Amino acid sequence: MHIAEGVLAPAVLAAGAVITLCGTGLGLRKMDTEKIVLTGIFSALFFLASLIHIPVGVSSAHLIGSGILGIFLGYTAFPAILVALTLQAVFFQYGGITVLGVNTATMASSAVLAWYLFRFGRFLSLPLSLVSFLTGTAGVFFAALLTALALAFSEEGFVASACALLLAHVPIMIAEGVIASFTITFIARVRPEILPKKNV
Amino acid sequence: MLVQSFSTQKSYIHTIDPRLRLLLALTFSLLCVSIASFKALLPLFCLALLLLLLSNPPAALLLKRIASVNLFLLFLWLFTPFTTSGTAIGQLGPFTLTEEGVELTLLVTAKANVLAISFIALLATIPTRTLGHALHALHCPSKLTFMLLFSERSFYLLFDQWQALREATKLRCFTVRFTLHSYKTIASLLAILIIRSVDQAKRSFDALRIRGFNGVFFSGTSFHLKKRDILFTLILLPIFLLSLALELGLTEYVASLILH
Repeated sequence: MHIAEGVLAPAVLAAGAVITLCGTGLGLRKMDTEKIVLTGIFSALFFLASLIHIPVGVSSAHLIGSGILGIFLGYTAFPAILVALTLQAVFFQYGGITVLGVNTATMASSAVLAWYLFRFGRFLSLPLSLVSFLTGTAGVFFAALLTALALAFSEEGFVASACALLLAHVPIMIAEGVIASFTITFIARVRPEILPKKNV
Repeated sequence: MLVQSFSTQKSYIHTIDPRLRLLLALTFSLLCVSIASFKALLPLFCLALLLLLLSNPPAALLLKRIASVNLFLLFLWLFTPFTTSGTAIGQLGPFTLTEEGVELTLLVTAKANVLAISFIALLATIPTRTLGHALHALHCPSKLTFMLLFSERSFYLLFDQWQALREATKLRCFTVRFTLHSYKTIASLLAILIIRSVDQAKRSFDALRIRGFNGVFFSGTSFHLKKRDILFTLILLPIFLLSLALELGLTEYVASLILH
């Protein structure tokens, strides 16, 4: 999901930067002193998840975790992902300065959308395993979709690559959904109080 | 050591003020992404190579990073040359190779590599902690700077915990396969890590609070511009301007003025 620098058109980069700026501003405003520490740790967790590889069919993929992150952080996912991607760029040179805005915007928007989906699912009193599966899947789906859109809007020639990117992520969506479902139900059994409360 | 780094080397670039390196890297990137011609890219390419030489990178690590950038580009090469409309120059089965497609992909590849090289030379040479202080000095929001530094530290702690958990599963002969059981095990480890993180966050916050933490980040590091920093900027700026002039076609304009 990392678009290298120099690929996207300046207009798309600018749009990504604006979304990230607004989202981060909103996230920082919603973040009180206590939540700074928690968000910082979740940001590190998000980074760590990207280093965990799981087999998907004959190939393998790394976890993305935007769905799970969204469940816990909501809008503060913006600053968390911005920080995590900055660390990734500094450590591994994934992405770069100018594309940081787009990459944060795609991942963090998908986390926020996943958060809304999770809350809606809980509101409807759907089983937790199903809701968290859908949330995990949606986290990857929205991230892949937004990344594909960023590519497609940059150049007419990238449209096919964007479609291929989206298709390649379908197995990963399901894998991530399964992981999210097991993770959240485990937490619900062991420490239910750290999950967002029902009907809020 | 988990992360091999460019920042532990010693070189000329490492002695330049980190704030300046940040700003120059930002200018370089903004300029480079807005360029749409090879001739305007050439000065930036030469500059990136020069900076890379000056930053004394470990060769093996450099190759690894450049390879990972080009992996994404390889993906673009599979499609873009065939799907861009334009003059056909070749046929591959049912797909038509177009001149515009090849040119576009080539330009994107060149730009991505130039950007990656400049990033490695200018930014990856700054240790994360120094980067935090430099961002603070450049008036980045205090909460974000704090999070960056806190997150980096937590990352190493979490990584150690993850290694220990994986070690424990390996001792029980667990190997990751494409099965539901494997997924459940990995998910459980992840859940344990999340629960521990929430507890750790609470303890860290309590520890910070009794020391009077109120969310504001104070930095004890101050930076000062030196002569070599100014000299460094004076070398880079004309090359930026040259590239900009080439992109805007100002050089042809000046040449035509002189000829007439």
